[in-house]
Amino acid sequence: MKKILLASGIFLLLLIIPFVLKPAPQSADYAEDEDTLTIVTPHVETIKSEFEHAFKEYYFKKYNRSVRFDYRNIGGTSDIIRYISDRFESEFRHYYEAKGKKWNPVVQGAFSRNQSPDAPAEARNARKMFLESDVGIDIDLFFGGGTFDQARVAQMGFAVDAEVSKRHPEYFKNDIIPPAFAGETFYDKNGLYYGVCLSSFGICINPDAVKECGVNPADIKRWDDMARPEFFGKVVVADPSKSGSVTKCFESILQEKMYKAVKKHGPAKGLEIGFAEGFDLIRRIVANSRSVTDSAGKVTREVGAGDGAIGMAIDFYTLAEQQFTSAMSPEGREKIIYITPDGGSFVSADPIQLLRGAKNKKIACEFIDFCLSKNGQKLWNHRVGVPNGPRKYALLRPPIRKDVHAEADRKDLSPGSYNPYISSKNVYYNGRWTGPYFNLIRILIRTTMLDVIEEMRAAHKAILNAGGYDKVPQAAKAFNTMIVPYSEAKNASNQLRVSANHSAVDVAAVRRKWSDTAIKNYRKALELARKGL
Amino acid sequence: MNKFFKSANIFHYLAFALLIGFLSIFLLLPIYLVIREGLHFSLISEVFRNPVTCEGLLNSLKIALLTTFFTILLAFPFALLFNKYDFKGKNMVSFFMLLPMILPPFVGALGFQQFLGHYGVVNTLLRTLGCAPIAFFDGENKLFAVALIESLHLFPILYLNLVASLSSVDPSMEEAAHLLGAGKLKTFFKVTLPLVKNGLFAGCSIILIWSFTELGTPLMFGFTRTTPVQIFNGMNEIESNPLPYAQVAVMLFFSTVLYLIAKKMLRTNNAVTGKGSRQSSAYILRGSASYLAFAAFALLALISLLPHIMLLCCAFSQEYYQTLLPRVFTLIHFEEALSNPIVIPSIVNSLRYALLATVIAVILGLSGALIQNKWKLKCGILADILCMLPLSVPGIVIAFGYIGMSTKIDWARDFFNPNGNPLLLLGVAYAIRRIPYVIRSASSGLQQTPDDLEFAARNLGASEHKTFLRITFPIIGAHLLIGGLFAFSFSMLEVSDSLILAQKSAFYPITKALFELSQFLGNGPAIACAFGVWTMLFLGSTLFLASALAGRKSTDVFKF
Repeated sequence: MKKILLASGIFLLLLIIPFVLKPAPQSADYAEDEDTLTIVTPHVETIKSEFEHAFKEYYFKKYNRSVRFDYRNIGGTSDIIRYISDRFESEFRHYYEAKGKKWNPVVQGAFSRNQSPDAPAEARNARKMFLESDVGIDIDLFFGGGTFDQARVAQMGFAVDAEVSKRHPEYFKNDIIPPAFAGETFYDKNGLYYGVCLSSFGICINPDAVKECGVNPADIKRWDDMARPEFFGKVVVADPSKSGSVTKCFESILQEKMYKAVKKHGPAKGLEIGFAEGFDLIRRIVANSRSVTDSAGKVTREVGAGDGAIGMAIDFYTLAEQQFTSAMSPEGREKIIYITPDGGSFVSADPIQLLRGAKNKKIACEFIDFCLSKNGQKLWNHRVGVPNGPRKYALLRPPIRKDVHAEADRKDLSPGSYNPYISSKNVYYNGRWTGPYFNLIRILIRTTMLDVIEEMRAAHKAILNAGGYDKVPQAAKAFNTMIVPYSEAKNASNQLRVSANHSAVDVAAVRRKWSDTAIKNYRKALELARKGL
Repeated sequence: MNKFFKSANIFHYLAFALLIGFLSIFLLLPIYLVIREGLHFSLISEVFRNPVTCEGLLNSLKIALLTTFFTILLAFPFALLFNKYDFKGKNMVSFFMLLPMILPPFVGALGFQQFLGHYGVVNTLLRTLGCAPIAFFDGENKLFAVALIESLHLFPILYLNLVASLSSVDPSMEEAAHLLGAGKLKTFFKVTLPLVKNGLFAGCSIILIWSFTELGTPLMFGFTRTTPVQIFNGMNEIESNPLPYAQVAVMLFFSTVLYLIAKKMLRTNNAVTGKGSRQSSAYILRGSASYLAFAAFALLALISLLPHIMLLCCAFSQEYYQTLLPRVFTLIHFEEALSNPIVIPSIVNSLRYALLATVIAVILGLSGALIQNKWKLKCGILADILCMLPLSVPGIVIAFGYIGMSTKIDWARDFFNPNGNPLLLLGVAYAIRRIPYVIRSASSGLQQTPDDLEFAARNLGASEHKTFLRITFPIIGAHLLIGGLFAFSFSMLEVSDSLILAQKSAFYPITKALFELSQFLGNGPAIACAFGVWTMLFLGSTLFLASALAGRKSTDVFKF
């Protein structure tokens, strides 16, 4: 009996603690929720909470009505897209069948894809019918997830024009929100998505771990530094196949090398050489890695803990980790530092889009307008507690509006805030060079590097042990053999697409062939390096 | 009499049909909806033609076999020690042995990182002693490391099943062997081991399939060439490359084969067991031997609980970097975590989901066990295999299968729609994934229940129903309790279904709240650790309470 009493006591005590610590309910500004806004988002709780609070206040002041936020949290961006696709398919099927038509695989495959004029009439009609419909999935907005993925949603026809440019043409001037910057599209010209904040990639380092590798932290300035032999087994990178932003970062390395090669060799030879040099560098960075994380946020954590010395990181993750660790340290010691690579870093926009058939379209458009307004923008990079700043959590992300950066009083900004329009102004990007091959780049990195990373690391280590890439030229040549040279990129890209005469099995076979070839190359490089050739 | 058997038979087949129907709707159909694109011969053959996926499969098999082997090495001696000897503190060790199971997701890896990381506890100690640090996560022998960590996490499953089986062995069998001149070793191999094969199979089959399909540990060690990690990595590009679906199908097939091989190898002759005949008597250890026995258990518990201890330190630390213990302690992370508005609803939700799941899993698992072991229906093996299948299906496949049910199948639309309150949906989803624990425990108990006692009851005029309630159920009670506790604990810590199917913050379970907290910038991992510690303690106290309540009525397993 004593044991039962003891066990019950412990159980009840633990159960009571969270209820005791429960925050007191905040004073209700708005009696009850009158309107609703349904948003699907991969954004973290801090962003959701700040935007919900600020918009409620804004909406109440403007309309004297309250609004209830119905956030749908389904997982990461890819989970959300899969969910949206499934839901639209289901809803359109009901709509289609209600019109007396028969649902079949042709319609199923066609309604969410643009159809060429020579496609079957049934497929073209299904697509047309979907685009003309107001079929919805009970979700108004898709908030966050990156432009690459929101562009995919838009391409499938799941997003519609939010018409911000009609209501606020003044937002879309070059000195407020430019259409593109440093190669990144900031908003869709048809209004299918609008970037609301920015992020950029850079290098994060753990000064203690970097010193332990025999490198002075101050010497780390460029992407090339991540491929230094001292950092073998000390680099942390994120998997580009899991994030469009990470792929963008690898693309920026290719662009930098292609730009330099074109300047040196001219466009004819330069593009081929630069593409190969870019891949050489990526290969050596990945071969130096101790781990390839499944999200960009984990890179910062691994480097912050010292498990990795150097990593390829998104700015706001690193800045947040930097601030938190130095605030927690009694001496204010920084365990992680963010470095913008020489020549700048690519910026990437995080957008919002209105989904087809939104039930609360008016409120959803109002929310987009708010996100793009000056007050909405200030939530991203202003200090907690300043007027129009966040209420509880510093979000540490650069807003997309240039004027918010230009007019901001430094003392109102969160520590570490920076203006990407200045730090990335020298970045050169030519969309035609690599833009069409975005998917190819990430699949090449996956199949010829990440899937065969054991063989790649072994070969790289053998080459470094033999004195480096210059000392064993044959091994270096085998290691750096291009599986898909730039001249074949277009054809290779097509081979990754499933079509009527190129099945999923064919795509899998192409990927297997690339992995096979890469393994052979790395094994050959390993053998040659061991022989000192 | 004939009429009675006919009606009993109809009831048995009805139960079988209901079980198969339930599993078809909530397991097979959702899986099929997700992986059907991968079910083409040419795509499946691609898995075997690709050396990278082939090696992944082989490595996963090696991990499964090695983990099972390590787990047997760990669990068997301790189960014997517990069963054969009485020593000081014995009452406490059963509880210790349950604790490794309650490591919360997302933050569990942080515990390992803090202990084995470059500036973690072990390497800081090594540096202090003037030794070079060890790169634990980057070592050459990842396969060995993964198997070792998994066995330290999974051994309670085998340990508890073995203890339950050992406590059911009639000691007169062993005494007879001794009287006939057999030594201790010979008695163990010739008498004890065959008598506890049911418990061994119950534990090993789960560990074998679990470790074959385990994602988290290989991912933490960066051991990418294993099938679960390859499937995880491929899920993001599934639209352009459905190969991971084919890999899921292959993994399901191999899991079933592994299970059937284990079943064949550990097949028992029920007639030789003697449960309920006579209780085993333990030899009382005195003096230092008694302390040594307790110390052995304490050491095992300490090693397997190191990640938990590290998690505790992280949650209370202001700074924990390049030191053996946190430099400064704080309660701020607890205050931040427990005062977050998503936390309290998540506790209530998790309790509701997990309790419902446990009830469903126990009913289904017990039905499956009865069908095969007691009623001995010809098609019983089908129910048995289907009940074990959820162990080998990646959580995300079932979760997306449920979404698929709500979008692709009209009659299933309302029930599977996760937009409303997902109590029933999550209760069923959790239960489906926990049936294997219950069916194995219940089967083990039923196989050790002597038919004589039931025959005697029937001869005295008891109905089948009454015989089950008065004879069978009390005998298998401890086994059901073990299965139920596993079902409850793992439901409280379920990840994939929770992340995908609990879409509104009002309905988040604890694991989704943990995930959301861990995503906070900067202090996210620290506050998630704090909530993780609370979850761990709460789950521990739940197990303690459940065991204390059941202790009197159950066998030796939970007498503390």
